[in-house]
Amino acid sequence: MSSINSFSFSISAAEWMNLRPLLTIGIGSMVVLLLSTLKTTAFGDKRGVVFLGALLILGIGFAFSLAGWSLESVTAFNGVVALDKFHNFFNLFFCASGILIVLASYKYLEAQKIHYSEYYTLLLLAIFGMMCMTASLELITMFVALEIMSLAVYVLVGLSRLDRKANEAAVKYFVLGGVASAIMLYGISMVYGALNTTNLIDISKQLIIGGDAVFNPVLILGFFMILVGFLFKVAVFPFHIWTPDVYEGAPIIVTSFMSTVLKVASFAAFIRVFSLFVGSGTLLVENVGALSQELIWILAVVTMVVGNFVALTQNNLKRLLAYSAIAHTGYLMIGILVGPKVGYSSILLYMIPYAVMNIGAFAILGMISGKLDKACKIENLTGLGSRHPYLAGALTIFMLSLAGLPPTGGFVAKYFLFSAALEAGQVSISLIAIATSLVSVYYYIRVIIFMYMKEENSELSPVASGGLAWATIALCVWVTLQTGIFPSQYINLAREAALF
Amino acid sequence: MVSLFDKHLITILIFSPVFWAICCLFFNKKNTQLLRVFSIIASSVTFLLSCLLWKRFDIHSADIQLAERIEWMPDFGISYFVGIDGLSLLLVLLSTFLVPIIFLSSWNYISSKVKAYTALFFLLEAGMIGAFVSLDVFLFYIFWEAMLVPMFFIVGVWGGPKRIYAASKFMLYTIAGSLPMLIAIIYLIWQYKSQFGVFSASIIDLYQVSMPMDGFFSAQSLVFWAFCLAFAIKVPMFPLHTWLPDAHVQAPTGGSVILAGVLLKLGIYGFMRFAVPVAAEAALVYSDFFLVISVFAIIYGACVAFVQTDIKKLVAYSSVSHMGYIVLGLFSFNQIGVTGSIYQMLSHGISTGTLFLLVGILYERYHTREISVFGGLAKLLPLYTIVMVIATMSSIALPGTNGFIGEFMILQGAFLANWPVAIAGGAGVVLGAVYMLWLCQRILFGKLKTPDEKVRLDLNMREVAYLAPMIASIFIMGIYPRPFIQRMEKSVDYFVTNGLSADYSLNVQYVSDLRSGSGKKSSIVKR
Repeated sequence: MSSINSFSFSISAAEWMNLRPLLTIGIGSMVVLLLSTLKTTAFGDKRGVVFLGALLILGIGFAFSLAGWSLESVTAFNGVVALDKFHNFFNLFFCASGILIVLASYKYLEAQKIHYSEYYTLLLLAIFGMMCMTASLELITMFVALEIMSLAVYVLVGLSRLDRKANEAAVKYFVLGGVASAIMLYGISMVYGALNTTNLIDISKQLIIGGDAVFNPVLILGFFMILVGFLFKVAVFPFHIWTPDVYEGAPIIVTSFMSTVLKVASFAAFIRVFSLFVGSGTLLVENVGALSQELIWILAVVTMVVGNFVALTQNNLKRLLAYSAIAHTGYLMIGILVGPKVGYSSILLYMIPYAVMNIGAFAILGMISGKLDKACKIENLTGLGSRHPYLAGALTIFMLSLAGLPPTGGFVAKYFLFSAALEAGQVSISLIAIATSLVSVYYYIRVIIFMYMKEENSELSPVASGGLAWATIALCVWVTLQTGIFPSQYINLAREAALF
Repeated sequence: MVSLFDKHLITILIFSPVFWAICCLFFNKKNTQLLRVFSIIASSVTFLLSCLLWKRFDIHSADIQLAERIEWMPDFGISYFVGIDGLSLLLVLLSTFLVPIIFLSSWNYISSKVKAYTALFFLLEAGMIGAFVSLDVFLFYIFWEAMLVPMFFIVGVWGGPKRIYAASKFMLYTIAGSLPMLIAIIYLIWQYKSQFGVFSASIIDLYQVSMPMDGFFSAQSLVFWAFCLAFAIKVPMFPLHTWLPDAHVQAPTGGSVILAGVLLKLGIYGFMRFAVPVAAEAALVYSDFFLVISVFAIIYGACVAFVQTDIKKLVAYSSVSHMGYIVLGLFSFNQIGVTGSIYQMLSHGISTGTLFLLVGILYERYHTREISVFGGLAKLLPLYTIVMVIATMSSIALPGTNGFIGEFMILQGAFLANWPVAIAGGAGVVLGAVYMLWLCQRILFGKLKTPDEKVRLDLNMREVAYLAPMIASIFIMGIYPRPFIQRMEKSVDYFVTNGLSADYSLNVQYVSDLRSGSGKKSSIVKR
């Protein structure tokens, strides 16, 4: 308790070094906010300046994270945050995905006439929240970080404020997200009530030691309520209901942010909390651990089944990708089930191609969707193959990767995930995952069929944006193929990061 | 010294089509003639490269030859590991042999999106060669699946009216088979790790994995069936064959030829290389089942072919029947049966390939494949008739043609293994003769009748040019099979004597170990 009472702490040099990415994005978001209040700038349109500023900040953050890879892991601020490889992996991940998304944003937002300079601030703030979240070793810190992230994203969802669908999505997401946060916070308070601490390390110590407190029903209830909060954020059945509507209503670029970066960040925090709760305590493994394992097994299976089967019937590409994201959440839950080291490293590995193929697919969608994303129907893809061969080719690669066909990153990710599952003896869930991913092949190749094999009948809206979105797509294709053909360095990255 | 070229011969062979495919992208869209010429020359170059394999191949050895191994994901034992032996050499040659012929045959037939068609065919070729030469299960799986995508496009974009249905069915069927195989592969790799302490995805190491075999639900049996499902769908074996007629009928001629010629053989090759040696006990236990089901496929395929009204569909069902023979030969597990099986793979690739080409020629002229609208074509198209009759004779295994050698050896092998099955299989030969000869009689002889009176073109020079090598190989392989059998002999011998025992292991000769002049030094993989 003494450490909580005394607020004096010093930051060592090592901590400063490790804090660099976090500070860059945190301060950077404020700078961008200030920039966006300017009426005019010396360099013309302020949005251009803000855009470049955001890009620069993310670039610096990425460079710092890269430079910080070899640093010693430390905990800072009295053990509230862990600045370790796990955190750093996600720093790299968030900054890289942020760059990809920002690159794809400019022309898209311009075309949609929703190019507000606040967008970049909110994006950076969300990323800042995520970075804090992956670092936090303390439930309250984690909650605050989660809220920083969530609040920014609530606003982003409603970015196109004249669109009713977007408004609906924003309100829906805000209300449901608020409820989930409240449940989670309530759970945290229960854990605190039972164990008298919110520090994850202290919690796991107490769980290992055991004692009466561990069998306190309040603790168990609190644990499950925290679990619910995370399951909502990562959109696991039955907490996935908001996903398709919100993904459909939000601007495509925000959808891509939510379905990749936000999901990954929630998974990261989920792993952090869950591993300490379940992975460490012997007593809890026997009691709550076993129960939560069973629960997660069931939820993972249902999520895979629901995500994949409902995606079969979708004709709106945004909804299709939303359900495919739900299905992929189900696959990722297998990694959670497998547990520390192998399971978590396979999740981390999975996230890289998962993010790039989704960001790439959404970026392409952003290019071809007309005003207010009207043209997101799958029929509008007819003839894309002959009119825009490069776009269609890239989308084909992303779809094949999402379907898990070699030689793409999606396959390698699935391979190592199933490999981890089989090592842990999770045979039945692997077989179910295999069966559902066979189902998924159908709706992914349906996209390809529409692009290449159907007669052209609709006048496709012209390519909305060229320019920098092409860079996003090219980078995504590159990483998708690289993770598929030369995945060694990514595997090592994920393995090192998962050792926390 | 071994030159760099020799050292990487197989790698060059795999990736040369990929290189050609990339080259295709730089051609002008308008200038399709140039692209066509390029495709034929480039694929011939690949064929000539594969002929070097034939030349370098040491017929006195059952080892994996010309092997190349590069670490890929060393922490998981995955490597880029390729090499050939008697089982794969001829199949690689068959693949590279057919591709130039297909390009020549698609000269007029494919008129739209020639660039994409050419590039996809090259990618398909790379996938096929890669799958035949891979000795690492991970690598094999990548080629096996990567091959699907070009084929999916070839059927789906250039196919007939129901092409989307056929292409999707083909894709989903194949993936439905390969996903359980993936699980089996991962399981094998983990078993190897737990038994030997290190990771390895090399198939030669995985042969050593011992798994319990007692009952259907034991590990070995499940692994065996997981592999079998993938390969049986590809072959295709009886209840899983329904994708084949659809895919064949809808596919463009080139797609059908490569499908019948090579892709189906990959299934059999998979049995030989992976399913059977990995789970030898299970293979022996269930071999009778395979014998029976293959005989059933022979007769069923023949009967269904008999009632078809579409020539292409008839040939497609005849493939089901012929593939039954090949499975029969393989699962008789004796020297002559397995040799016959491989030999029949080659001859079926050529004879059925020729038949599909001929159907394509007819379709290009008359835009229909209905049997009933044709008659007496012998009067109109004498050259065509000669080729058609030769291909038919090869298909029904007339002595002097390649089909005879293969089927004779298969039935001989089957007699040694299980004589009632062999008798039933022999009956299939008669049925095969019935439907093929009846087809010839209906469309070639009798009263002249064509859908279009004005079209009376016999084979032109281009068509003769690509049919001639096919006809030549029918006769060469039918009259002088020795060089072919010689090349598979040692490997087959080794396969039947050791492939079904627990200590099956292949030696590997790496190219880097070869020294010109000083003879070949083989480096033996430990264990």
